[in-house]
Amino acid sequence: MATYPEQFIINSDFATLKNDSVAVTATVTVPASVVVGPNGSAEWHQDITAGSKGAALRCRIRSSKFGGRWLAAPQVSFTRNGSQGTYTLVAYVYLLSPGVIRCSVSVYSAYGVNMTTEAGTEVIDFSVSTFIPPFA
Amino acid sequence: MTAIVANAPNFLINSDYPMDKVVFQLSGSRSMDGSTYFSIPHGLPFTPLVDIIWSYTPDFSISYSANAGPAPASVPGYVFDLQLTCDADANLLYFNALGPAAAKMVYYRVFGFQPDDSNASLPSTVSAADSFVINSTYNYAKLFTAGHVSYASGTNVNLVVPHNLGYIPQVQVWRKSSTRTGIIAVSGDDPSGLWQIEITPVSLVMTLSSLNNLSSGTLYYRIYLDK
Repeated sequence: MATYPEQFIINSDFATLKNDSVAVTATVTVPASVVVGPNGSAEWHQDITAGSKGAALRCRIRSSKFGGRWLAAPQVSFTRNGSQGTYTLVAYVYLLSPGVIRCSVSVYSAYGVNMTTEAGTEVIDFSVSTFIPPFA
Repeated sequence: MTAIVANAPNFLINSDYPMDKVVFQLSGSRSMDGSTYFSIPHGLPFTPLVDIIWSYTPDFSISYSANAGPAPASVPGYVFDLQLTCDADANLLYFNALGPAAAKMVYYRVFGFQPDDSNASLPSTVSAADSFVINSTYNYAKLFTAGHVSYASGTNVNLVVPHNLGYIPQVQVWRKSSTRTGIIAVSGDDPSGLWQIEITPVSLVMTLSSLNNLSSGTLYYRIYLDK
């Protein structure tokens, strides 16, 4: 039987997303002036208790070097300036194992020599909500 | 803000605000490497707003959102060893894998919502795999507002959708460009050339300062009462 789902506030004919963790927070501090090897990367993370197998994520991420402004996505990318030029800082969220969400921050260098990252520490905050999608 | 709206997030379910209805579900697996690209019909009478979760294991014990994957990559110059996206048009879902990873079995799950500019009749998506449609153990995100805004071609986009909730709510945004619609799973700052999907206590601000001439498109958004 077909129905018009969006004409209903709640409709038991359609699967739902079960929000099992709401706005669980994490903070990762990126040290200042980190030396990254040639074409290398460096990573920092904080794990939080949330998320079941195959969790769907709704995330907000902010950086102290981006005015503390919240960006709504499970992954954000910032351009930073290091000793060799610009480099990328990526913050993203994924399910590390059932019940554990990893909030990870990495910097990547495309330079074939050592690169020193920006001066000043950077604080990355995460706010993560997880959902059980309707799959077996 | 009225008392009803202010207290709505405190309820698992609130009949004043719609609950997410998953109108499309698909799960599958395929051997993929960083050049894999394929499409599957979705059978819906509209372009769905889809999201994807993927894993290298069938139990999804380690899983990733769209555009993300295992890191660091095995080859310099890449962030993730493999990243997977899923876009949709009026007929098909398009899967695109990128990264230096060698071919390996990938398991994926796609689910979708009906966009606000569709009022189609749809078959039920409830299945035996989901024991309870509604289970009071869990919260159900309450949709405060859903809509879409279009932008013209050019180099800069700045679209503001007020919500005035007074706090930072859950938000998801999809971008329709040409015929395809995909979730914006990566946001960033201006030099990155990425969409800035910023959520403040009063508004959703969607910005892109394109490094190249941007084609026209539409952004579909869903703002929830829940934090």
